[in-house]
Amino acid sequence: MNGPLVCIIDDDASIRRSLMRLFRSAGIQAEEFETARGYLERAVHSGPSCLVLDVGMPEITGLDLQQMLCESRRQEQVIFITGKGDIPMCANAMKAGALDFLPKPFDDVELLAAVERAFQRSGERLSAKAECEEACRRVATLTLRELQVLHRVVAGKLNKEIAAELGTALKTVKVQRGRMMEKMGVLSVAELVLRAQQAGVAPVTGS
Amino acid sequence: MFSRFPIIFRITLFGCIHMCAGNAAEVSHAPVWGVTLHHLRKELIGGAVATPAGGFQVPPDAASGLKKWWIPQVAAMGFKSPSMWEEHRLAIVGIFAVTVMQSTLIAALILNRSTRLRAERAVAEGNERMNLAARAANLGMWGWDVAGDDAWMTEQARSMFGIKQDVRIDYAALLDRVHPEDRWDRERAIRTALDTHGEYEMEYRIISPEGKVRWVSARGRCVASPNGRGQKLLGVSMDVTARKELEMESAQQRQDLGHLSRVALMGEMAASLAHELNQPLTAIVTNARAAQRFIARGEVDPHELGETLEDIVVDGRRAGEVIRGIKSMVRKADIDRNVLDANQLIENVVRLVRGDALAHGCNLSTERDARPALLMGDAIQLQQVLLNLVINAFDAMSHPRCNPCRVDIGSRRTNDGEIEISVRDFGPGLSPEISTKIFDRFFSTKTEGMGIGLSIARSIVEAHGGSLGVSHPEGGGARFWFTVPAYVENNEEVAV
Repeated sequence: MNGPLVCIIDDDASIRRSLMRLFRSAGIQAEEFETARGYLERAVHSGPSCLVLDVGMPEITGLDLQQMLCESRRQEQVIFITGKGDIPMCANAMKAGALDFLPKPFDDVELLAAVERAFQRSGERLSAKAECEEACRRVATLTLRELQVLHRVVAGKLNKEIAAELGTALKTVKVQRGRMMEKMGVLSVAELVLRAQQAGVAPVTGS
Repeated sequence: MFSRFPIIFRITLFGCIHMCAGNAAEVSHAPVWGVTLHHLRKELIGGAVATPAGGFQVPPDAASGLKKWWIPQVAAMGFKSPSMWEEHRLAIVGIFAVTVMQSTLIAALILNRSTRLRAERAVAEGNERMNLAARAANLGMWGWDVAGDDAWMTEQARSMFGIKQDVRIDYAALLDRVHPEDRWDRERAIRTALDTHGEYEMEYRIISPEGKVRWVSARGRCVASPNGRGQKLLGVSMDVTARKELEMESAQQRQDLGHLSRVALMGEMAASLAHELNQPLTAIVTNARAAQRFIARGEVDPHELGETLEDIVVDGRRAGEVIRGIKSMVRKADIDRNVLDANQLIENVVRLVRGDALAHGCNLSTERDARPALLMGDAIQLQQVLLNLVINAFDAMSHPRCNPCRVDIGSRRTNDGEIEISVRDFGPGLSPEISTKIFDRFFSTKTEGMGIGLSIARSIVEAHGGSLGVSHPEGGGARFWFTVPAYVENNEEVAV
């Protein structure tokens, strides 16, 4: 199941039921959880996902959960709903990366719009992550020499300079560069730079 | 020795009479030893003729009769007129005796009278002192003869009851003065005293002739009537209007204080209550919007719609309960006795504080007997007590961060047939000194606390006939508990 999924976490049963109904009526896939712990036990969803999260819950509060997800670098977007919204709480949540903070009783249109935004962002993040992973994978296939060439190409060095730095022939460099570009699946230096950044490869300047 | 008498005869010891023969003899009266002249005269004189000198002339022919008596002829007879005493000795003695007796009697009577007068004076003095004391203490004394239905009252008592000085008082007249609402109870107290031949004690209102209401405290004792028939009820009554008014004022103030403390509690809980209302409201609106969307999409499933509406109704009612809870907490009410279930009380309070529990990061756990724990009491007031204890528990656990962060609320039946409700926290607990002071008025360990919660809670519980206390359980923290007598069906007390 790769489609967008919204997960409802609230200790109040009537609110969970009503939210499930609402998402169903909007054609959005939804699951409900009574506690944060229950949600953490669920396997990570592979598609775009969004959390509709109550702040005030026993044991692990909504804010605690957000913290945990942040630390685990998870991709879910978090939308807070709360009966006790005060400004400091809201500010903290937003600073920690929440998408939105809706005090109860919320407007369903606002909520659904936020969920859509969340899916979008989550989707973007997922693809970005996928791309990074892809770039990393590709970089891993490079030989040492190819990697060295990569470092210098993204630094803006000419082939001639690279050959001089690496102490190889110009022709060798050209060949290595060609192979590297192919392995990286790019057609231009600009794209290469992007891929290198995604893979976390830093340009090497100087010799 | 006979010179004093006209000696006619001489008497010897033998009582002989000498008589001059042939002469007329004057005989006068004389007691003769052994023989009275009376006898002599009868015998001798017979036809004697009295002489002016007071004697008798004995006719010569009677002289021979003298010989009848053994009186030698030489005897001289002396004679003396008997004295009053001699003649009327008995009478005199008799009179004397009578006189003496009469004198004695008169003396006794006089003595008696003076004693009696002294006693009467003493009694009068005693009465006067008693009256003075009674007047000073505002006491009216009274006595009621049950059989004859006749009552007497001191002046003080009469004026207390507004009855004129000379009017006859009977039971009905007194009853007339008593306030209609108190008549039945007073009647019952009197009847009990008479039946048990014991004591009567009652406080009741009377309405003075001017229509003013005054409070009377009466105390009486049943005594047997002196004439052996029936009983008397004797006692004193005191006007206690001033005391009663003070009592009522102080009770009113206590109630106001209770109200104030409830309002203060509610203030503390305002945010929590807003949250409690928000939950059902949110669910209601969300459900309704979902239903609208389904309809807009043309997906009308009656079953689904029915469920949605049902959920809306349930949540609406939930909100209503919270509102009712608030109103009942804040409303001023006199103690109202009903049969309550302790578990229901706990549930109501838990509902009110759930939000607050979350705010304090505490878990609420309830533990109760499966059977309903019934008790007689005022729901509002007992909920207030429980609420107070629970909020205190939360506060105890805010600093420092506790472990575990839990408040246990429980109900159980004790061995003494009471229902015990307890609130246990896992905070730092109470030191022994604080444990004793904590129920004092105006003592508080909280910086913003007014310190009236626990002392009011204790008075509420005690007014219900129970007690409130704290213990230090193993595992730390404090356990506040209060007991209330359990409700027993068909109990005599319930009928009251």
